[in-house]
Amino acid sequence: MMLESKNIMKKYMMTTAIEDMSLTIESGMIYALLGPNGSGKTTFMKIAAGLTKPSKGSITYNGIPVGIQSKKEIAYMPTEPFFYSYMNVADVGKYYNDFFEDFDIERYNSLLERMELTPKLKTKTLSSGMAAKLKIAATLARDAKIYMLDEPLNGIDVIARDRIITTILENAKNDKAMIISSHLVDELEKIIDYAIFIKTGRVELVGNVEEIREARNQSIVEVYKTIYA
Amino acid sequence: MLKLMKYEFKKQAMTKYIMLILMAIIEVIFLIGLIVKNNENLIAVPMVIMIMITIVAIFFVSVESIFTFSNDLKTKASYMLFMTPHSSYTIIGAKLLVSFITLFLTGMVLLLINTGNFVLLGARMEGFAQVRDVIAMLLKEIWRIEINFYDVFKFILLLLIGFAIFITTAFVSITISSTVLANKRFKGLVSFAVFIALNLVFTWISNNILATDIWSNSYFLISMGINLIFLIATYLGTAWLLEKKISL
Repeated sequence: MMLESKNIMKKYMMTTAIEDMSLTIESGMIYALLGPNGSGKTTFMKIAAGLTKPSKGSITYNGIPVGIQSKKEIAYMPTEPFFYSYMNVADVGKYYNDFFEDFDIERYNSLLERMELTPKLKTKTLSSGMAAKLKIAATLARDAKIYMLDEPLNGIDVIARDRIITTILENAKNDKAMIISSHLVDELEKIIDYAIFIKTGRVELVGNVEEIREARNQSIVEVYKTIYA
Repeated sequence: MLKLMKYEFKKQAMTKYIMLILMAIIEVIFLIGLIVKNNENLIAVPMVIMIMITIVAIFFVSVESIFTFSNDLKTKASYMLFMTPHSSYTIIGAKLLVSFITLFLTGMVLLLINTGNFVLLGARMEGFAQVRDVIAMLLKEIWRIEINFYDVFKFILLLLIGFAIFITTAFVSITISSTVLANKRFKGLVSFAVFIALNLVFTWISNNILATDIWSNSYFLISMGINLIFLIATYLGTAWLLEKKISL
């Protein structure tokens, strides 16, 4: 077991982003974190990345509360653009190279080529699609143990989507886990091993994709519609 | 930590370059005025502007550190910083060190430029040297202040540490508003009140506990001691709050 959350709860002013969430993430699997906007997917990822503390409950990575060590081994890609505005694409690579031991600058450069991004481009001038590609390149150039990608396909055109999915699959290996959140359930269904359905801050359904399909006699897209429609 | 400091410097570099270019242009005008000698306007105006820039620059450097920290907590760029495998103590430590070094260097560079200008002016214009000597004599005879390099250095050091405390109290207040008060209404107002309260407490301690002779060595040492304790306490408070209550 790599990442384990126990009864975590997160409250903001008048809203509860996560009501009660217990999850276990194992290596060698690709997980889809599914749910509509506001269901708690992003909050869960931010807590797992050590960027937000839960109001209650605990979250551990290899038995140790998330913190400095987990940040070395968990690569998190937020859904919003987050790079410093003074940086260009090459600076982002240097920054990651300076702070993450598992970052491979050569892989970053080859991912940039694949995503058709040039090093001189200023991050503040990037379109939303280009910014999304840059986030993917920076995150997947790390040789992390867990990848958490929050809406990696947002703002990406259909052709680039395939390229991104291919890149994601290249990084999925036996000693790694991958957690991907997305609204585009049909795009994810083809590549995931486990589906986690989140509804109003709780885990509504979690399980192996094949087992869910067999047990319900529905595709994951149909299960999604059944739960949230 | 050095890498964190490198990126902190980069974030705030542009304004320093602008400041230096501005000072260089005005210094050139001043030197032209000095060489031409007869043109007093070309001497007086740049000198006054440079003194004003010095005061504004030191204040600006402090305020810029505070705004940078606020951005690092309240915008999405915060992920960039807090995603790195460092504790809040290291991150805040790096930020404060960069702020203090920048503050000290800005203060020293501008002080040296202004001092150099006064020395040049004294050497070039006899009238100015006489005025300077009269002021020094008045300070000595009436207020018993004998200006020497050591006193000026002590005064500047205390002034700079005062600005440093201004920065750390602002850091604590911003952190309170982004952590324990993150979900509360009027968090901005409350954190500003905390900032004012901390500064009032510090001023009260400085005024009531310290010796009255501000030029004495004991005043300097006690004052530096109290300043340092306050500085460390506000740093630890900021880092602890972020370590325990971060909410980006």
